[in-house]
Amino acid sequence: MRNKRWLVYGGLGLLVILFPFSVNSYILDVTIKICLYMVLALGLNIVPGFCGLLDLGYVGFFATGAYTTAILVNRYGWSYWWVIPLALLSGAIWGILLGAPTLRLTGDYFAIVTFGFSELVVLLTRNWGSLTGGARGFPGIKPPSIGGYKFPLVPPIAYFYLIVLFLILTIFVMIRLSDSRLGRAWFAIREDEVAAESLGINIMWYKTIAFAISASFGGLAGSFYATYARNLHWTRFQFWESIIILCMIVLGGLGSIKGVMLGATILVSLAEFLRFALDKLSLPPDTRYLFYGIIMIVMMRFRPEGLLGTTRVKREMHKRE
Amino acid sequence: MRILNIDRITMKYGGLFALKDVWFEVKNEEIVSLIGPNGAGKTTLFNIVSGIIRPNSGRIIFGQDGRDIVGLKPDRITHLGIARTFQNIRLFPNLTSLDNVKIGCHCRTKTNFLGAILRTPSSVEEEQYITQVGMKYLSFVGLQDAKDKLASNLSYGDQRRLEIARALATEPILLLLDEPCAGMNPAETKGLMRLIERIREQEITILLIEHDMKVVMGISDRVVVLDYGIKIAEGKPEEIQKDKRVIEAYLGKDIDYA
Amino acid sequence: MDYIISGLTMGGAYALIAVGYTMVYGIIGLINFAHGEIYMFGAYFVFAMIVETSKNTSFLISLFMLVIFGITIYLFLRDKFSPLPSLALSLVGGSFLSGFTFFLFLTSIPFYLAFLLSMIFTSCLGMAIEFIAYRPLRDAPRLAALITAIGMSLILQNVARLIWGARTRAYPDQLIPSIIKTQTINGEFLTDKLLSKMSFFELLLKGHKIRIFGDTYISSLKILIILLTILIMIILHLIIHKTKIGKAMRACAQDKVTASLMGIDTDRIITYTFAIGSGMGAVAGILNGLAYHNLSPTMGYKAGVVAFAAAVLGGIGNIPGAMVGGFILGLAQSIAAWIGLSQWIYGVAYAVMILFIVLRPTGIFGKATAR
Repeated sequence: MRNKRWLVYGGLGLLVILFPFSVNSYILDVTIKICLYMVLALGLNIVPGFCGLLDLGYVGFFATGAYTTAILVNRYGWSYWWVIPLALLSGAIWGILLGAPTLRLTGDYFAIVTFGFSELVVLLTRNWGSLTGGARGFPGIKPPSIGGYKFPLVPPIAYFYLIVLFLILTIFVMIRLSDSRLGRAWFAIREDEVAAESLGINIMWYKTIAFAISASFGGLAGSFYATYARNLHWTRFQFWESIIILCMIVLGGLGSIKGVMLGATILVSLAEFLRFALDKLSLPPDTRYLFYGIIMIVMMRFRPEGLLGTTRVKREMHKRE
Repeated sequence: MRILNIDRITMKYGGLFALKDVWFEVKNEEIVSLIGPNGAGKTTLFNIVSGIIRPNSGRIIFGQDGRDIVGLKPDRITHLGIARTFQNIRLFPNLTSLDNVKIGCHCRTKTNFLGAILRTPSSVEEEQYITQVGMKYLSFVGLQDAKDKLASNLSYGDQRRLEIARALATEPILLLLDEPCAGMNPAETKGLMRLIERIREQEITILLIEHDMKVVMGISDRVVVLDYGIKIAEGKPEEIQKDKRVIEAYLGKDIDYA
Repeated sequence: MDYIISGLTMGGAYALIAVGYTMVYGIIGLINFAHGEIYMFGAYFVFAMIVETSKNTSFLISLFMLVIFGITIYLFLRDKFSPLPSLALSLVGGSFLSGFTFFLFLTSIPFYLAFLLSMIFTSCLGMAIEFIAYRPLRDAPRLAALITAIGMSLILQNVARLIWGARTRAYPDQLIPSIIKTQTINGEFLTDKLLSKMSFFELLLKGHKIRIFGDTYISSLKILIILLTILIMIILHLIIHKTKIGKAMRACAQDKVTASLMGIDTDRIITYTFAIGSGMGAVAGILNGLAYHNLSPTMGYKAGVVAFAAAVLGGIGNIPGAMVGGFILGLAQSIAAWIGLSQWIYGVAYAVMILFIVLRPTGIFGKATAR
């Protein structure tokens, strides 16, 4: 039994190692995007999926991670590898700073504050030219390197391995967390705050932890994005980005790790498809959001537990006490 | 030895008194019943003791060190050793029975998030301990076979018992039970009375709200009667049954004993 | 001075939108993210009606209107007939009405008429949204309803983008009747002599810049907009406090279950709430279009956020509070622009909103309506 499992893991590992050599650079790029969004979506999932709180400002943490990385690497000459833990940490710190005062409020207010935060981050990146490059963006972020080997952009094989590593780390943490004392406390809060509190769970504390962990994964994804995209532009971090990530979770299944990954895969692929399709129809590329909107409404109406949602979320999403 | 001292608790909603200068004591390993017509303020008192609402005035002294727990948050109060159940059952409906009880173990365990991610030996050990304790309390209330069932799929009586198991898992000194027998058939009620007595044998003190007079008179050491937020009587069950004001409060308003 | 007037104009628009947010929140406890988009549609409907729109675009709008009218009619017929005939009737009625609107959009019609029709259209839009998107989820958890509201906002924004394209549009100057034109005669301000001969109202109606003192002039259009905003608010106040519907609305906001026990059809009242809120949103959109010549599919989102901040400022659920909040934020934004922080005007709104939520979630008036 145990051997069999390791065989499966080994096979999967081999596939991952060989994968970048068997596809062209476009497919590889899309795959990297999918993995990046999986990390993002899994990170966000902690808040609405595990705790039942709506976080509309997740992209703010993505932006903080990305700009922190860009500034430290380019302006201060840090090695990318040292930036990674810092990006994680900065996300967590921001999460606590923002979460601690707002999480005691009801969900709606919390959602709005997170939204306001992410829009403030966007304004900051756009207007604070000396630090972030302002409206022109932040160009020419140095690639990471190991020894003397600089990560090449074409083909982005090294980046692929890096993001897969991040993704594995994320999935690992998520699985461990959801099956622990911490995860149970979150589920309890999601299902009934009053009962959770009466069982000795400090709601504020656990919500703040959830928010901080979620934020630090946003920061991690941001740090990867900065080195992969090589230049940052504030338009990339607008509110709608948060909504896309939320949409992935909703589509795949709130709280379900597999579902969230499926959602990320579907929506990134859909975005690629729409890019061509809308171009063919000579429609503005932003119209793709129409589909995201439709997905969100249809899912909430007819299958609120998502494609791979568990029954428990299903019951919960269908009925409120 | 006294374990809980409700000291002149007053709760006003607007100009209306939900509770007015209510005071009584609960002694160690006693079963005290709180009775009174609907709207007498019993559940309000429970909410105050468990910290969900804050009274306008009064103190609640709990435990041997005589600490005032008014103003503490519910989770702190649970840590100190008061657990409760709810009148309208508040389980986590979409989690399994076992998980429900495991969440009850929360405040007596301490794995943090690093421990959870790294699965340190101590956290693995603790997780095993939690499962063990969870199973222990599930079997204590007789639900060991339903451990993997979702709480919402249990029968009504089983849900009540699961809620008690969950409260016991917080390892309380004092257990507040809000109408545990509501909606149960006579056989289930009898089972529950036995269960309550078995809980007392675990050296847990019990404060009980109950409408079923058979239960109240059968298991209580003492009874406290509230009417319109005022304590109108207190004493042994036999005394209460004869008390004029109690009979008036109940019969005068055509409320039958069930 | 000009900044203050601009601030008040903008503030008026925010106030009108904020009222929509606050009314809906008060009655069903939902942040209606799509409300900003309703404001945007209000502005665009007028645009489509007062200019000659191409056949294709008109057709697209009418198609959209067919859906909206169809749903609205169905919503009202549903109580009286069984589903099938009311569906058929609403299809017929919807097609008829939207066919009619096709010509409205194709040709150009007077501004006043467009103004009125736009209000009606957006009210239908609001009611339709509530019926198809929010009503089925009324007993669902908040998370689901909020996500639906965001989805609705995305859909509406992009329907507008599909119909009118992403670029900025403006109301044509010459089509706006002379009374609300901003230009002065021959591009010159009137002399003191002439001014003294005209009454304030004449000036207002003739559409000149009005001289306050020294070299300070204000555009009469903006004053008119502010006055109109206030007028509409008074009307709203009267509706809410003097009419039966208003009374029912207040009852529903207090306690829906009890209200329904008193024989109030809560669904109907919620529908009316959306209709009124949306109509006011449309007015805000149109006035804003007049004042700033600036229509884009994202305008609703931008203004919507600030208006929501205004609703928070006034204490969400509190209608007069929302109005005051709107004016305060409008002023705050124009003051920010005045002291050279024009890049940060939205930041001001976000910051105010966050501070208020954190420090005083019940709003400036401190009424305990916050949940």
